[in-house]
This record gives sequence, structure tokens and C-alpha cells, in this order.
Amino acid sequence: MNKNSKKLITADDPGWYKDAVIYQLHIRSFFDSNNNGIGDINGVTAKLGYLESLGVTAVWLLPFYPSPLKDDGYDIADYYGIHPDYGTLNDFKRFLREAHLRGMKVITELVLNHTSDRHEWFQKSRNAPKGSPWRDYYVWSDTPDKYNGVRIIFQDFETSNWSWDPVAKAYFWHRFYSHQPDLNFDNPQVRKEMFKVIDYWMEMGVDGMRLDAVPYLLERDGTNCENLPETYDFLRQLRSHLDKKFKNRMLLAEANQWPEDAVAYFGKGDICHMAFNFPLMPRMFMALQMEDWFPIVDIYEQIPPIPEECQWAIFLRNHDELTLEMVTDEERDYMYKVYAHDHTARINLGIRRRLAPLLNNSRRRIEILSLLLFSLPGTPVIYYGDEIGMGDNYYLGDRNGVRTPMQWTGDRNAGFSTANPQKIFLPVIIDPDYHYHSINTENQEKSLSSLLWWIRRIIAMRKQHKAFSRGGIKFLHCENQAVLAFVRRFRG
Amino acid sequence: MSAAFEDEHILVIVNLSRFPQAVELDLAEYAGWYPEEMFGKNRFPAIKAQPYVFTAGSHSYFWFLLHQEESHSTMSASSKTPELEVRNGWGDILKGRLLDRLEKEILPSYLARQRWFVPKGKISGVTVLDVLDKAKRKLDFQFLLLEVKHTSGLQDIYFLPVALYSIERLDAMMKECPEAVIAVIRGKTAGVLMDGCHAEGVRRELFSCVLNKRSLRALKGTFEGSLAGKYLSRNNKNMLAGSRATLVRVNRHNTALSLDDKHYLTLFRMCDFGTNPNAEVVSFLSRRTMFNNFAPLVGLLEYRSNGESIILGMAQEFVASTGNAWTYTLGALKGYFEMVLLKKNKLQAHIREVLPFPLERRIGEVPDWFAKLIGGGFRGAVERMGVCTARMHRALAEEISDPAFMPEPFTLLFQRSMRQSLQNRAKRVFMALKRRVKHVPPPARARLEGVIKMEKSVLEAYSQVSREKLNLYKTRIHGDYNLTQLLCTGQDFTVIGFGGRPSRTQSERRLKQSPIRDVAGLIRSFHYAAYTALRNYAHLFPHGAEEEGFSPWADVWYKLIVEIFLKSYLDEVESRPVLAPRQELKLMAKVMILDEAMGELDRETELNSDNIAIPILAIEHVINGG
Repeated sequence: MNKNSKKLITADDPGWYKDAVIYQLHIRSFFDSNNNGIGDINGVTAKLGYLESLGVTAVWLLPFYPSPLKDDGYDIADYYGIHPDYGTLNDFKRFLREAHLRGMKVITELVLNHTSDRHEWFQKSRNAPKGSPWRDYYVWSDTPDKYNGVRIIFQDFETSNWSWDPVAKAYFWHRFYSHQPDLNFDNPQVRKEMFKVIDYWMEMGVDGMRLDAVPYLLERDGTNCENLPETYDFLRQLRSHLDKKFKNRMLLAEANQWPEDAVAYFGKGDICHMAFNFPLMPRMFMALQMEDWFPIVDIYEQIPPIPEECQWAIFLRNHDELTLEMVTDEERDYMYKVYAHDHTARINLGIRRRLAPLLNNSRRRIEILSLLLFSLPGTPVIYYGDEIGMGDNYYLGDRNGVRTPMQWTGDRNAGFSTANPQKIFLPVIIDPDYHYHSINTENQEKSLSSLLWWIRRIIAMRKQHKAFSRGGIKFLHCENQAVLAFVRRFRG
Repeated sequence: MSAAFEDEHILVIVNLSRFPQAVELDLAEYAGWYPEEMFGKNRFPAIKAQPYVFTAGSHSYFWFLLHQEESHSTMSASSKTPELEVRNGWGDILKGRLLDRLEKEILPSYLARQRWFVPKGKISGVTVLDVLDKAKRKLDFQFLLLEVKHTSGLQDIYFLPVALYSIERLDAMMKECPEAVIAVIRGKTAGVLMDGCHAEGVRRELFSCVLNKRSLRALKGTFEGSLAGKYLSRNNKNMLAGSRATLVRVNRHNTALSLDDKHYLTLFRMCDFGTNPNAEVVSFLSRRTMFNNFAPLVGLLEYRSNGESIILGMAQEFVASTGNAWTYTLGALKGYFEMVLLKKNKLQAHIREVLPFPLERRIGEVPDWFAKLIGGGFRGAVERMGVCTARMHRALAEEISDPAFMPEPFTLLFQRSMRQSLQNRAKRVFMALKRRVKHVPPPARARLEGVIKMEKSVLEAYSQVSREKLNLYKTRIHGDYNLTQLLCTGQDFTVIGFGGRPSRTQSERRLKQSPIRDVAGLIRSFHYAAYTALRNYAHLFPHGAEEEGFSPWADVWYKLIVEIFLKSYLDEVESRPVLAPRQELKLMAKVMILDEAMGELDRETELNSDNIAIPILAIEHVINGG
């Protein structure tokens, strides 16, 4: 049906995120419409039809704001702009319109915890005298002896959470890269600024925001500086502010924590609407490899009940490494042995591989995990490219191996761009097992037995039954450990 | 989201192992329920209080919808008419969530209930492919082009014109034609959404489209009417004025409309891209002058998109008739049985003659006593059927340039392939018969068991088809020939229903076959008529409905009528080498009759009907040569 006949008034439903099927993509990697070798917003707009045909109902865009791109856009230099590589504000507004016309919601990112050191605020802060308003935008200290014992997240890249700034002549706190100083959320001015940011985008029509790295917002001595009560309080304020001004929006917390800590981000239904179910994710891979249902059932039984209006977001892979932070040391060792024998595939505390390579390109195993993604409780998130079984390239630096261009055809640059192949932002996958000549959407469209069609069918079937998106779960503890069985129940 | 949803229980089973596994599931709380696999819609064994034993192949996975025993799958006919709430015009039902409901719930259940719907497994999905573009005009009707996917993997296209009637008519409609009601629309525009063939306005619109060569724009293509041959130059503008467009009949595979007594429009309902064989044959015959016993083509109603077209309906000249040959034959049989009753005692001697099947010996003269029993009128009619059939075959076989119609000689390769098809069909039927035999009530069961034992003989009979090269030709034939396809027009017959069995695909129906297939079809039809009459007129027989005393009379009638028909047919085709079978007639006719009878037996046992004996008799006849 063409657009005109399907002019859907985007559902006036506050619980839309419960029934959603979310597709995660990076503008940079999706489609290059102006042939400069970098994907852009107009490119994503052009491919909305593809997403619609997949059955996707919400699109989650990785950060697209002005940034030196030292952390793929998560190092933001301006919260209000669009990175010139990706397009203009008008391009983005058009994208919002087109997505909404197709009945799709748009989820963007709100990186609260830190900014790029190129951000105007940091420049002002480092140059401002101690104690002044601008200085207090970030977390400064004269010595690195504060907040001791706090874990380093990017272990392969940083050796400390403090870095010395010669201009400010002080240390600044950063839970991530040293070029990403943490904002100081104890400062009410900082809070006001972030409220303004969220207002700006929500007014434009954005439907939801992923709150990046929320556990780390505030720091207190003598703690591990994660999941502090003060952090929850701030988020509660943020949510309340959002509810007062806007209808039917959604906040999605990115909190890579053990279950009892992750649930806290829902509050009593007054903080975030959704949160990623990080603990479940590695256990799905473990269960499949061990041929044992225990890891999955066990983690679900550890997850406390969540407020009625809240929903987990479940996923198999994303733009980061398959994180093994929230598993035991033995389990991490097992996962490494089994899934990342080649040490090059390991990064930080995880494995930087895509779904298909992790499962040795076994179609059957990909189907099993995908089926679980679509039948376990929670809103499923599909990582771009996994629907066609894309391969990866872990010889590329950092986590870039899983962020290569989307493969549309067998033509030059996999149909992603017509620019000179040496110009595109990351090389396309030419691994013999996953070469873009055969792994691309055009090929898979033509064959009804392709993975793409299989995913479409699963999504279509899932959407017909409320039990998947809104039902409860009861696991049948089979004596045969190899068979996982559960009942999803929905009361009409 | 605000609509009330029923409770749902979904059982998910995943074998995490690369080896097959057996597992016992404790589903005691669902005792009395049964699982339905969601993609194939297949029912799995019922759940009991004891553990449910389940086996799963390597890395296999299942989604089961759990149903309580009383409730059927959501597709079964529910007595409640679905309701749709619209905000603006009724065109809203073709957008967003309402369209979703229409495609997922309402249309599948509606289609499954229609006489003209051909089930191929269960419906796994319906998609609206195209509709009329309402942008410029306010329409109170719509043309829906639907794509229906079945769980068997097959896909069909259906044409469903719909109309919106005022809500006051709902009660009347539910009494007169409940099957035409699709849904009730409430909200800003209220009304009853119904099958357009039941609405005078839509019927006129359909005729007007063809007769006035109109082109109605749809969102992705166009609905177009076109005229054939001599109608092109005529001025048809006034044809609709003052005429009444009526719904004649909802048939098993199409819907027939008529415009007064002038034109007839057959809506094919299930249609497809490419050449529609019914329209193709009628069009072909219309261009020739030798055969007149059919309704000439007036025009076509098509859907065109991207250079391809789907034929949705065919308009023909209306042919006045007094009914079809089936009804006529049943009436003649009634007369025959009455005569038999009268003269039974005198004719006892004749019944004891064991008449071999007509093909077993040379076709000679019909005995006098029989001719008197059936009367000259009916005899003449059967002879005319023979002539009509022969002329039809001649017209279809005498094409020298169009490859779609040119006759082709049999080759050994073709014969081998034909033998394979025949044997495949027979084997499948025998498999089904073995499963069903225990459900057949005792008197028929023993005979059915006897037939099942004949499997080897049946396959052996088929194998004769490929032993030597047969001097026969394959041509385009009628494909669905029987007494209901002949309309009585007083002195003669008109043939309808060209283009083969509508439940088969278009391309399959265009395949060439030996015309003897049609002959066999009519022979089977006579057989059915004889035994149907015996049952229908059982009240004529004084000693209760004991068919035993009189079935030999039905048998005699059948064999001799077939002789009359065949003689008349063969005389008429004698001079045409392509059609005259000579020695091969006996072999081919036996094989075709056997094949038709196997198909009949399959259908009758599936429905567990009373007609099981009829094909059994036919099979026994052929195999035992009786």
C-alpha cells in the first residue's frame, strides 16, 4: 500500500513501546545518499520502506550530533546540532515525518554522563577559575585520590578514571575515554541544561531516548560510583519533567548491571519506561553452547518483578562488544573459550563479534537465538545487519568490526555507496564466508528461504499475539536440560 | 490496543542441543487443551494430566498456541459479525490498524466460509493487493484485490467487490444472505460491509465496466473492461439503461451475474496473472464459426498492473435454457424407473443378461426393449450430446497456427509421464483410503476394502498406457466435462464451464490432453445420474428403498446410454484423424474412467458421503471387466 493510503496517525498509545519491534542502526553505516562514503540521514529515510517491510515499528539511531568522532559519536560536542557528515536539521525533521507516516517511532540518544572534550562547555570549564559556575560543570579534583577502587570500563584503553588537564591544572573524572569528561550532575545548572536538551528534541517529535551510561551519573566517595540513590533521584526528576511536557514518550536506560541493580532504573514506574536486559544476553549464548536451559531460566528467576508499565528491552547484539561484565569469572572464561578463541576478537570485557560469526554462521543456531529474542519477555531490539546474517571484521580497531556498512546489494561497496571504495568510512565485509556478494538484502529478498524472510515471518507472527509483548512467563523445568520450554500467558 | 483481546497461552519449546531430544513436559494445568503449531496451524496431540511427551529434532523450535477443546481455531465461523470503528469515512478500513484487522481476522474468516473459496490447507495470511483509488470520487463500493497465502505454501489471488449498505438493512440481510455480510462499520460512517455481488449498484458497475469499456483507476493498477469481436463496433451505451443486473448464482468456483436476459457475467473470484483458460477457450471458439453450442464472448473485466493482467470476469451473451443436462437426465431417469416398475416382470429375462461394459465389445445397436423404456426424446437428446461433444472437440482440435491450441501427437515420453501422473494420483488415493476405511459404515466398508485390494491391478492397468506408442493426439479439451456443464436449450445443448477445473492452477488447466478425458467425464456423470436417481426416487419402489432389487436396472441404463452416446460421438469424429481413436479408445477410456473414479472415491470417502458405492462400482467394472 502506498504512503497515502496508509497515513497512519501514529498510535496514541502510551504503552507503544511494549509492542514495538526496535531496529538499531547507525546513520553512518546504513546508506550513503550523497556518495561521500559516509551514511547519512537522507539515506536512512530512503530505506524506511525496507524497515517497514521487515515489520519494524521503532528505529533507534545512534548519536548523530556534532562530534570529533573519537568514540563513534558518543563524544558529543553539541547537543543541538546534526553532524555535517550526516546531513542537516531539515533532513532529520523530514526523516521524523517519514518515519511517523509509516507508523514507526523514532528513538534517539541522550548521552547524559559525559561530553566530548571539544564541547564548548568543557572548554569553558577548563578555563574557568576553581569554584566558578562553569568550572562546576564537570568533575574536577586536585588529586586522583578521590573515588578510589572504581572499576575502569574501557580496560584496554584507559588506566585510570582521572586524567590530568594542563589547562585547568587539575584532574577531571571520566568513566570512559579520557577525551570524554563526565558532567557534574550535582550541579543544578547541568541538570537544567540536560532538561533543555531533551525538550528540544522531544518538541521536534522524537518519541523516545536511550539514556546512555546512566549508572555513572553521580559519584560519591566510598562507593563504586554506580547506581547511586542520587542518580535515581535525578532520573526521577528527568522523567517527571518529561511527563509534564510531553505525551507518549519513552526513556530507555542503558544500565549494564546485575538484575537487582538494573530493575532500580524502573523505580516504581516513575523513572525509566524501559531498560536493557543486559544480564540475559550472554546467558542466551551460554545456554545454546552448553545445550542447557539453566543459564536462561536462572537469570529470569533472579530478575525481580518490574512495575506494570515498564518493559525490558532484550537484544542479542548491539554496536558494542558482547559484554561479559555481568557474568561470573568462570562463565566469562567459558564464553571466551567457546566464542572468542582468537584473542583478537576480545575487547575490554567482551567479544567484539556479530551474531552470525558468533554462531559460526549456523543458520539453525541463528534461528534459535532469534526465536528466543522474539519470544522471551521484553521488547526485541534487532541490530542492523543481523537480519541478513552479516559478518564482522575484528581486525578493525575498537568495536568498528561490528559497525561496517550495511550490505544492500552485491555491487560496489555492497550497494551502500557509490563512492570510491577507498573512501568509505569503514571497509565492507569481504570475509569469504560473509562476503557482501552473497550476504545482502537484495539476494535475500529474492529467496523465500533466506534469513531475511524468516525474520519477517517471525516478526509478523509475533505481532499477531499479545502474549509475546505483554504476557507473563512460566518456565517448565524440564528434566531434560537440553530442552527449554516456557509458556507465555496473556490475560485479555 | 484498547480493543478487548482474548486470553492467549503460547507454549514455546526450543531444543538447544544439536542432537534430537525427547522430553516430558508437565502441562497438567492445561489438561484437556491442545496445542496448535502457529505457522502450519497443525493440531498436535491433546494435553493430559500426565506429562506430555515431546520429541524435538536437532536445534528445532516450536511456537504453539494452546486451545481449549471446545473452542476451535480462530478461523472457524463465529456467529458474531465483526465490527469496525471508523473515524472518518469507511475508507478508513483500508488503512493502519483497521486494515490490519481486516487482513488478519475478518477477511480470512470471511473467505473460508464462501462457496467460491478454494481451501488449500489453512489460510495463513490475507493481503490487500490493490483497491480503487477513491481520491477523486466518493465511492460507496470498492474493488478489493486480495492475495491469500495458505499454510501449504500456495498463494492465490481473489477478487472481492464490496459495497456499503445502510445499517438498517442489516437484519434483513442476516436473514436472506448472511454469507454476504463481511463486517459492520460503526462510527462516523455506519453501514454493513458486504459482498458487492449482492448489491444491484455494484453489479451494474461491473457490467458497465465491461460494456462501456471503462477504466477505473486503482492505487497500483487499473480495473479495465474490454469488448470482444463484434461487440467492439457496437454502441453499447444504452445497454444498461432500464436493465436489471441480478445475481444469478453463487457457484462453487465463481459467481454468475446477469443483465436482464442479454448478458451474463462470470466473476472468477479466484484468479491469477496470465491467461485464464476459460476466457481463452471461449475467446478462441468465438473466433471460429464451426461450433456454436456455447455462449459467445462479449468482453472481459481485467486488472492491469505493471504490464501484466489478471482476468477477473468474463461477459458472455446470455443463453436461455430450461436447466442443465443433469437435471434433465434425472428427470428422464425418473420416467425410466417408472416404466421399469410397470413392465418389470416382462423384462426380467433381459436383466439377467450380463451386459459387458460397452467398451468391451463393438458398439452395436441398442436393443428395442430398452429404446422403448427410455423413449425417443431422451434418446435423441443423448445422441445430440454425442454430436455436440464431438463438434466441440473438432473445434478445439482444428487449429493450425496457434501453438496454444495445436494438437500434438502422443509420444512414448508423454505416455510414460502420463502413466506416472495416473499412478501417483492412484497411490495417494489408496493411502488415504487405507486411513479412512475404518470410518466407513459396515455395508460400504467391505466393498471399499475390496477396492483397496485392487491397488496392484489399478497400477497395472495404468502401466498399459506406456507400453506401446498410441496413435492418439492431445489437444485442448473442456477439462471439467459433465452433465452440469451442458445447458438444455430446447433442441440442442450449450456447453459452459470451459477451461478445466477451477480449483487447479491456470497453467495446469491449459495443458493439452486426450479428448477422451472429456468423454470419460461425461460417462462418469451418467453413472452418477443413474445412482443418484435411484436414491432420489427410492420412494417409487414399493418394497422400501431397497435399491438391491433395482440397481441392476440403473446399471443397464448406464451401460446402454453410454453406448448411445459413444456411437453418436464416434460417428461424428470418424472423419477426423486427430480425434478418431480406433483401437486406442478402449484402453484410454478405461484408464480415464479409472482415474476419474479414483478422484471421486477420494472425495466421497473424505466427505464420508452416501455416494461411495458409485465410484467403487466403476472401479470394479473396469478392473473386473464386468
